[in-house]
Amino acid sequence: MKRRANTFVAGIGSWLATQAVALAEQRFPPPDFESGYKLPITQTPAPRAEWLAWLDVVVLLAALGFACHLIFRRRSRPGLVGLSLFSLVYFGFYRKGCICAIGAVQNVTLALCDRSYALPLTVLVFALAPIVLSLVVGRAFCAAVCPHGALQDLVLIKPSKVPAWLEHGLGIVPYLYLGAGLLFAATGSAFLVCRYDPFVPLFRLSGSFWMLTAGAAFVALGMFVGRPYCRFLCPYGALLRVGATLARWRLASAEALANFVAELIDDRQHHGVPVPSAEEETKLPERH
Amino acid sequence: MKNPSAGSRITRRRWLRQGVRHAAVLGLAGSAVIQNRRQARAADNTAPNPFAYDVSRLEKTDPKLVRFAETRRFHCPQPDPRRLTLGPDGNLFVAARDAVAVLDPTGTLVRELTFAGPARCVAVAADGTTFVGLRDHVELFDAGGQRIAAWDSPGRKAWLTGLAVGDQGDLFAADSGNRLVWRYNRSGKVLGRLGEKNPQRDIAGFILPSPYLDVAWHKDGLLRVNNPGRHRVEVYTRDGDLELTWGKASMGIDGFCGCCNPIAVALMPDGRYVTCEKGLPRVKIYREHGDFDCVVAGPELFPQNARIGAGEEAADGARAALDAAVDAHGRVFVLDTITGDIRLMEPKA
Amino acid sequence: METKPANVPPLNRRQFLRSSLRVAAMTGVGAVMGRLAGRTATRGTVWQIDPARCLRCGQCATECVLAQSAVKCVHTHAICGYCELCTSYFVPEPNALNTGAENQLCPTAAIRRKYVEDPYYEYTIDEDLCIGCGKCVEGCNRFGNGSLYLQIRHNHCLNCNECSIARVCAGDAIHRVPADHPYLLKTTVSH
Repeated sequence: MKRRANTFVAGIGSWLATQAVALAEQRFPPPDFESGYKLPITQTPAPRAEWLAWLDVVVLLAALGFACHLIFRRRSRPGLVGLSLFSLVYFGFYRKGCICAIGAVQNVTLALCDRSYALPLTVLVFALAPIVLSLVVGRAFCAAVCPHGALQDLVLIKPSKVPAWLEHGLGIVPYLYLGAGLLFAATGSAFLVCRYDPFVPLFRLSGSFWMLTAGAAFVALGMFVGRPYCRFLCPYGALLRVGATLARWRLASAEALANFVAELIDDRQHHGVPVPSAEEETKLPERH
Repeated sequence: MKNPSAGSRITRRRWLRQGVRHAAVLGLAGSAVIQNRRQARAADNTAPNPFAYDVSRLEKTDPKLVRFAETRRFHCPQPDPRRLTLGPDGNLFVAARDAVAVLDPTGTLVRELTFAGPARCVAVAADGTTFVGLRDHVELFDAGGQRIAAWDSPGRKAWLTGLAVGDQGDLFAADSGNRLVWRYNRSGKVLGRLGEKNPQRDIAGFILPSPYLDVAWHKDGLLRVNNPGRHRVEVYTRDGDLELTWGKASMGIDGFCGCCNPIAVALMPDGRYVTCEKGLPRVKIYREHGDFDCVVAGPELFPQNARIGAGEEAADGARAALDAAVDAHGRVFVLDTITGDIRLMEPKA
Repeated sequence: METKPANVPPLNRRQFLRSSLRVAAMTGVGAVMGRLAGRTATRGTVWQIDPARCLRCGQCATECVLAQSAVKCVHTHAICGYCELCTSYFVPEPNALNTGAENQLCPTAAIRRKYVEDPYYEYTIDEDLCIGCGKCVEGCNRFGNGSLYLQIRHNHCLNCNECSIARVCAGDAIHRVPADHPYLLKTTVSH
């Protein structure tokens, strides 16, 4: 990856220079056609419309909000599954995994370190909205909006417990990957996270052999290990994990959730608020 | 609150120490990878291209066909040279970006004629009058380099790329834009239009995908004109009657390569043709009726011209061309428009 | 008015730290947004090839993340010579100047040759077949006017964050351009 804005300016400049010189000397006329033949115009298919990028942002924010509603209000696991499916289809197969919050944080890093790089506003929102939300309510983005997590959730058929020593050891990898990704992005060298994302080739239904193999391997592993990419590789998840530890209202482990609910009941009793009955409590979202 | 799991024993000091170690490893690894990427990037430029347009076999000339050798080389002092011609005194006249450079046979600059725009072609009469073709009109200079006249443009589409002085003082101007040759008298009046498409006169017309129409006048009273799109040379009387055509399209040494060649034509004192081609830059000699004779200079002598013409360097390949002029002794001066070099090629002993 | 129950625990150190860090993180996010807000681009950018720098290395055909590259050959007909012997259509030494497969340069037969009038032929690109290998561009540049060149077609391109072709481009020819001017078309060549 190059210093984009600088090379963009250089590229535009060199092209404009050649065109300016050429235009100044005028174009050598094409043949005179006696049959009335008209020269075809070069077709220029337009890129994706600008407003669709903002639509993606609106959908992201709406999905995040709806995820919070499903988690905290409705306590609905089927709702979260439905939202996950929608996210997989929209952000995964329709948008082909790009733009995503996981990669967008690299663009933000590059923009912070390179004054000549102009970051699109939509990318900034994509990168920061889930982080802001994680500081408030935890990893709602991971729960039902991230297409990577959604895919892994949907293929999980027989979850196995990962040994504690392995989980602890692999738990450092996302932080290392995050550090490497931000370092490479900050220096303008590469967008590592985008380059080595295992699921985006599956969403695109094309890619290099090794990346498609890696994606298939993660899907296969995800059938027996809950969310392996999220737990052991995702750099954005590492960032959100840090944010979630600071969250005001977060759902962590089932034990912590139970403690939280107990505190909530205790708090309500002390304030004279009626405590909901067992029937009014819906099933809690499963945690890994 | 979650209790620390048994056996983790992560203390603050240990966490910090591990963090610093990890950061150091990460920094070193990152630097190494960045450096490797730079080297790999440089190496990518030499990776074989499975879709290469391979004409390497055609860029080699059989040495037995080459009967000329370079004896001297000098450089045009002006950038972007396009055409050259010889004056009656043996000086070289080179039409370049904004000037015509006059060089003596050793390459020393004698004088310059300057213009507001590119000079595209030049011819010199026996009395020293210099005719310079700018894009759309002709200007005249006396033997001392003083401007005498500027003729009117023959039309909106005029694109002059070759000039030749006839034996009656008339000037033949090859107009690539209008696809014909203008015949002027000394005062700039148009006397005729040669080579224009005319089925009644059995003239097919010039095919010019690019502006490389050229003319050469011989003492036999006939005008030679290249027709690049038809891969041939045509011979006209001064009144525009087509006498002869010869040439064929071929990448081989005996034909004209590519889509539009030859791009320049000159004449030996004995009437043989000297032709220049682009794409596979080469200068060849054909006998009077178009039979291939020999090679003056093959693509081996113009590596940069060939590279830029092929677009192997990020430079404008459209200007990659050659031009030739012949003196009274049969020595051939070859202009390389990319390097600006002028090579003197003399027959081998 | 409610009074605070006596047995509600006071804010402990962990809660204080967490709240402080949360506020600090929020402030940091706000600072990042504030710093970048003045430098954000309201219009997006897309990838495009600069024809002046393209070296026709062939990697556009092989390095794109899509199965069939988003890079296609594009033709500016105003520059074309409409030659009967087109060196971008025919192999260097064709058997005959016809549409026989053995005579065609394009590995996927993506160039259409149509007679216009003597001796001119029109050459157009079938983008469904074009793989962006640049072989025809090479032939056109070497012997012709250079009216054929490679461009990224935005009805195919996914606008990846990091273009996999740009990463390996031999001529450093692929850059980001404004989305409202997504093509770098040749309008002329300087003869």
